[in-house]
Amino acid sequence: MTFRVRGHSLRKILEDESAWADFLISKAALILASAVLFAALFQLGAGFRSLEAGEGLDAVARDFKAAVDEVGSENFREESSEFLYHFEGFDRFQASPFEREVDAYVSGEYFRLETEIDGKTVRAIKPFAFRVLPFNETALRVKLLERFGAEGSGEDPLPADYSEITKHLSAAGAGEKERDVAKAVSIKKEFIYVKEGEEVSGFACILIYQ
Amino acid sequence: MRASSSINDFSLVSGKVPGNISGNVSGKFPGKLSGKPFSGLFRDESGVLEPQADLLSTALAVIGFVVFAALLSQGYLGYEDRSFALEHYESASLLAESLAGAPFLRAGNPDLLSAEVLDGLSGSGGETERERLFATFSGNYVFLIEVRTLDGKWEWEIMPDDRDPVFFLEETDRIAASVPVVIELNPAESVPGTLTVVLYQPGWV
Repeated sequence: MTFRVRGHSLRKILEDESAWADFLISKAALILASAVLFAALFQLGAGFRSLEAGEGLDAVARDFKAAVDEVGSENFREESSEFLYHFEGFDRFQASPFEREVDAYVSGEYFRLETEIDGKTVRAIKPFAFRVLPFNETALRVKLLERFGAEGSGEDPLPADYSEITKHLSAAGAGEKERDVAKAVSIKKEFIYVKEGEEVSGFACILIYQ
Repeated sequence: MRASSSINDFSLVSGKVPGNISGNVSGKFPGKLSGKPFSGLFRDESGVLEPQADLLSTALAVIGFVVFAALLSQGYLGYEDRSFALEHYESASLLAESLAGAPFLRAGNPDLLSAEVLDGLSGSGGETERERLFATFSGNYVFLIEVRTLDGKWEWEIMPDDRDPVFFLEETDRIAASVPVVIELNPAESVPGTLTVVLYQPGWV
């Protein structure tokens, strides 16, 4: 009996030419496709926002790297120099949506900015072209004195060879140090002098500290 | 008669257009041959085309969106590549400029690179000089320095000793920047040339 009723209903559906099933299925597919399309559009918009923030952060990091490299490019002149960098002086930093929420880190190899946009972490990392150390001159002299028994100044040159010194400096500067973007950052060129026999020669490195 | 034949053409496609529509159509759009098949479409109540039209328009919208997204991503990737290359070119240029101005590469005359110093730096006995020269730079960039005269008679290549020679293979990707220099071959002869810094791909970050 049940089979008959079912057969009857099935035949009725098959013979029904009003196309209601076609209509409903196509409308449902249309609604579904529209929902997917709109979701994709909004996702694209959100992606662009994150991308734009990343580009803004990248521009700030690039500006800082350029400032450090500019001090470094003068490093063959045998004289120390100091430069104060203000993040707020850079227009892109002031105009960007992440002002005051940016964490800045400096190591001997790179500069890193990090912030959050819409719950996602956005980073910008720039490597330095010249030798950088994330501490001040006093700390540098103390580290050299502890390791080599000399401060590395013109009056007290280091007795060791270059490869040993550069390895020690790379290891000393490997750790990240946080910098406050609300305060000025000092970028200072300093010379480390080495005694080779009777001759004293030096090479420059850049100190970044607050 | 012409209108009727055009409707009949359409009815061949749909298969369900009743023949009496042709009379109404021809009465409503007299003499407009191009409008007649469309008027048939508007009056067709069999619902054959409508769902397909929805699906077609949705498919077109989706295809349009996919093409738009693909174009955007292609544009962004192209921009990324170019800005990456430009950034490294700027670094290479900065290194070349600072090296060209280095007193270390000069002898008596402050405006001329000394061929004698270049001989010492590029020779096998110049290890200490090379260490001193490269100590100023961070280890982030793998690069070598090429100095050559414009006439091609003289050429010097200064490579860091603490880098694996595999980094400097011919097939490795690289970016180079040159600056013009004047090279003092001897106290009586100075020739124009170029100082080139070549950044190699393994050091790109």
